[in-house]
This record gives sequence, structure tokens and C-alpha cells, in this order.
Amino acid sequence: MYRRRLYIFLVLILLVFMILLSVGIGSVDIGFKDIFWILVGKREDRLRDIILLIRLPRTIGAAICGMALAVVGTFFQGLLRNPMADPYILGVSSGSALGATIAIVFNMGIVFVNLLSFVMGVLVTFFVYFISSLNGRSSTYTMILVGVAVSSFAFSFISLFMFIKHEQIAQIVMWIMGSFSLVGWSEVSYSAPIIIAGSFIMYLFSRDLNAIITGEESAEHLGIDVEVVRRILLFTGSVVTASCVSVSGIVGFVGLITPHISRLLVGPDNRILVPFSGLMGGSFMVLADILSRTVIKPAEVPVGVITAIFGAPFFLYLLMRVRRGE
Amino acid sequence: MIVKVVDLYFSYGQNEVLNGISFNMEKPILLGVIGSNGSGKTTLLRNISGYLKPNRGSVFLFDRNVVDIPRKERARLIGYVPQDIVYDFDFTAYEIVMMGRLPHLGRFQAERKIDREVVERSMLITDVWHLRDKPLRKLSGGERQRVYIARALSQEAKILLMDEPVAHLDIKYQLEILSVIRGLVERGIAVIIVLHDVNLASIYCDEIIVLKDGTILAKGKPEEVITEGVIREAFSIDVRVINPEDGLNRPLVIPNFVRKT
Repeated sequence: MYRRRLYIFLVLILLVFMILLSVGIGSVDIGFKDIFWILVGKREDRLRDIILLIRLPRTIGAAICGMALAVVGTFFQGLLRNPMADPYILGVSSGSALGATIAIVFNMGIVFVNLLSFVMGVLVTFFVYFISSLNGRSSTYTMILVGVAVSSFAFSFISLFMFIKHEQIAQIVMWIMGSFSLVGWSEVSYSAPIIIAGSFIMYLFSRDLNAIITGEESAEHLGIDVEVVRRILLFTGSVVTASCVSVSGIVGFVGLITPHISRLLVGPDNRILVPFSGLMGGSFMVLADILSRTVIKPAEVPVGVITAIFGAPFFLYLLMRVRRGE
Repeated sequence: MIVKVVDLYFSYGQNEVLNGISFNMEKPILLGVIGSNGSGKTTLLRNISGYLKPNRGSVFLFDRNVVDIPRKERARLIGYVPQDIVYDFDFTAYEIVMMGRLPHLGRFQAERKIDREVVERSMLITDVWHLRDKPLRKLSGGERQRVYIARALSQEAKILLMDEPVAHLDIKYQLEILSVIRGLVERGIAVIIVLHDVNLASIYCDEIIVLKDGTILAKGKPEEVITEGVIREAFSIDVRVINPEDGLNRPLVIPNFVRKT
């Protein structure tokens, strides 16, 4: 128990450090001391606006999305008993991307891009769940396959829109690859409550998830209503992911590798793994966002590109290590 | 009455698996269930545990219809050791056995001292306490099986259902696990066990049910049930039944095989 609290404490410090770093780095570099005085409201100047109106909401957005993706990824990997599962596996991302693409193509404005991608993301997950439970109990295997099929179906429409509307390709691609450059307080203010409440609801089921990982039939015999727990977790996880994607676009790998790294560090018990993974995901995402706006300054790289560049090799390394019987 | 099964019918869709099963279990004994593949053994256990709901007929546990017992309370009455146990994760033996306390804990409740005591006791009974900090992955098949039995024990259930707990084990582990199970019966726990090996069933069980096509072909003490006629009909094989004169008086089945030289 003592060691567990220490782990949480350390990763919390990491997150705070990343957030301060992210707020400090940019076109104008601001020192920790200045950031401190601005945050406690003891300074009124140009730096204050940069921090409070631009960098802070963006950083908070990145931290919260990273947290959400890691938490949902942890749950989905356990729930679907598949190490390759991530928050997007049931098609949320494809639905959200289609929603956003439609809003972009029809010039509906940023609010509708967010709204439509959120709604479509949730709808697609419902659809996947509905299709896979048509004949009795839904098997996780069927759900993953249906998710893959629905995803490619949705992405074929996105490609079609991109083909028809050449002039908006850049905007669509930027959205699909993910970026926090457009995140302000309004985006944070609607997504943060959904994400935090959703993550908390999911956390309440972490002990049930432990049992489900040891087999669905056994979990059932330990008094857990697996079908109900699964429904709650899939639904909540999809809503959380959709609200994330509606803010930042599709940022890959955070929801896939963070749970794995965290599992290596703190073990499989979801009661500790979930919060640890969440804080870790937040730190990783903030770091990726810092890199996305600094590597080719003053231009910005989509944050999804950064997470993939660092995430994919690390994931391969992890895979090799596990294969060798580590 | 510990378990009372009345005219039980169950089908998976069109596939009728159980066709009118009735039996009683009055005292805590070791009750074996044998029969060929597809005769309905696992389905019978799943109906008794309440995991599946019968199409017709009922199961009563301590005179209460199993479908009327809330899921969590049911998990305090019945422990279940499934056929294929999962172990591709890093949970330690201790963590697995502690999950058996879930039916006794509220959602927000941390494990209490009593839970840790029950877990320790259960692990000592099945002799896995010394393995408590090892991940399940690193244990042998017999040790894993004993960990899962300890988990069922830590549910403090009065009835244990075991679905071929010795199926993939070598003879040493088979005997080891069956002795552990015998010990549980002596402690007053009623055990219903599905076994593939007719001879092990004959030697270890107090009573045996022979299933064929979802009906009970024979039920009774091993010496009443294990006969050439019953075994021939249940498994469609030609066998001889011998009775070693060792005082135990349990019939053994051997294949009717003539070596051509």
C-alpha cells in the first residue's frame, strides 16, 4: 500500500512538472517563478494573458485528454481481454472523424465540428455494441471485429469527402491527426466535466474489472453482473473518448501504450493501475504537445504524429521485451 | 436439503442439452458427474450455479429457488471452479484468492482483517500459501488449479461446483487435487465435481451421476453405478469392470482390449 501511494505521488509530481514546463515554453519562454506569481494572481501584464488565455487551457486540455485516453485504454484492454485494445477500438474515432469531416465540409463552424464529432463517436459505439449483441450475449471477439468493420466503413466516407472537397483536405487531415492548437477554455469547460465524471464512474468498477480479467464466467460466479458492468464501462468509456476526440482530434498511441507501461510499473491491480495510468497519460500527452509546437518552431506538427513517432517504437520495444519472457 | 434439482430442461437455442434432470443432495458429500462429451455435464453445473436459467424445472439451494437468490448472495452460497482457468495476466496468487472476497465486500469497502484471514486460511487448506506472491502465470497447472480452488473457498461457500478440475493435469496433480477436495468434503462442504476419468470418480466420490444425452442414466454409490452395462451405454464403449479386493470395494473400468500377437 505504501509503495502504491509513492508511485501515485511520483507520477503526480511528473504531471505537475510537465504542466509547468508546457506553460513556460513557447514563442516567449517564461520562467517557473513568473508562472507561479501569475497563477496566484499577483501579476498583471502581457505574460499573464499568454499564460491564462492561451497556454493554460491548451495544456489543461492536453493533460485531461491524455488522462482520459489512458484510463479508457486501461479499461478496454482489460474488458476486451486484448492487449492491442485502445479507446478507439470500438469505432469511436472513426465516428468522430466522420462527424468532424461532415461539419468541416459543410462549413458549419468549430462548435459544430466539436458537437458532431462527439455525437457521431457515441452513436457509432452504440451501433457496434447493438450489432454484436444481436444474437444473445455479446462476445468481445465479435465486438472487436464489428468495430474494425464499422471503422473502415466510416473512414471510406471520410476518404470520399476528401476526394470530393479537395480544398478542405488540409483541415480534415489536421483534425484526423490530432492537435491541441485550437483548444481554449470553452473546449476545456465542456469536455473536462464529462471526462472527469466519466473516469470516476469507471474507476468505481476497477475491482470488478480485476475479476473480469480472470474470466467472465468466473467473474459471474463471484457475484458480478458482467454484462451490466461491461455495458456501463463501454458506454462511459465511449462518451469519455468521444469528448476527448471532439476536442483534439484522433491522437493515437497514448491510450494504447500508457496502460502497458503503467502495468509494467505498478502491476495489474486496476485500483492502482487506473489512476496511475491516467496521470501518466496526462504527462505523456502534455510532453507530446510541448514537442509538437517546438520541434519545428514556429510551425506546429500535429500532436498525433509526435505520439506515434515516440509511441510506436516504444511499443515495439515493449513487445520484444515481453516476448523474450521478461 | 442442500441441492434439489427438479425436472430441469435447458437448451442453447434449438440445441436441447438437458432433458428432465432431477436429483437431491441431502448431505455434504462429494458428488461426481460423469458422461461422454456433450452429455450436458457443464450445462448442468451452470444451471445449478444460476449462471444459466433453465427453460423448465428448477434448482433449489437450501430450499430457495436459485433464480430468486440475488447474484451476490448466490456467490456466498456457491463457489465455482471453471473448466478453463485463465492465467495470462500478472495477478499474484494472493490477489486472485482475495477476489473470492468480492461477494462479501461493498463497492467502496476496503479489504478487512477478516478477509485477509479467510484468504490465508483458504490458501493454507489448498497448500498454496507459500506461493502467495508469485504471479499465476509462473505457477504449474496443478498450483494454478489449487489457487482457483482456494479462491472458491474464500467465498466461504457451502457448495462448490468444479468443472473438470483435473482435466489437464498429470496423475500426481490429479491425486493431489482430489485429496484436497476430499478434505473439503470432510469439512462439511458439499462438492459437485465433473470428472472425465471414470476410475477417479469411482475411487474418490461418495455418489455418482451418469449423464447421457441430458438425462440421468444412473445415480448412486460407485459400486451401484459403475457397471459394464451403464458404462457401455453412457460412453458407447466395450469395457470390463473389475473389483479389486482391497477393502475399498470400488469398481474400476478397464478397456476390453485383446492384444493380437
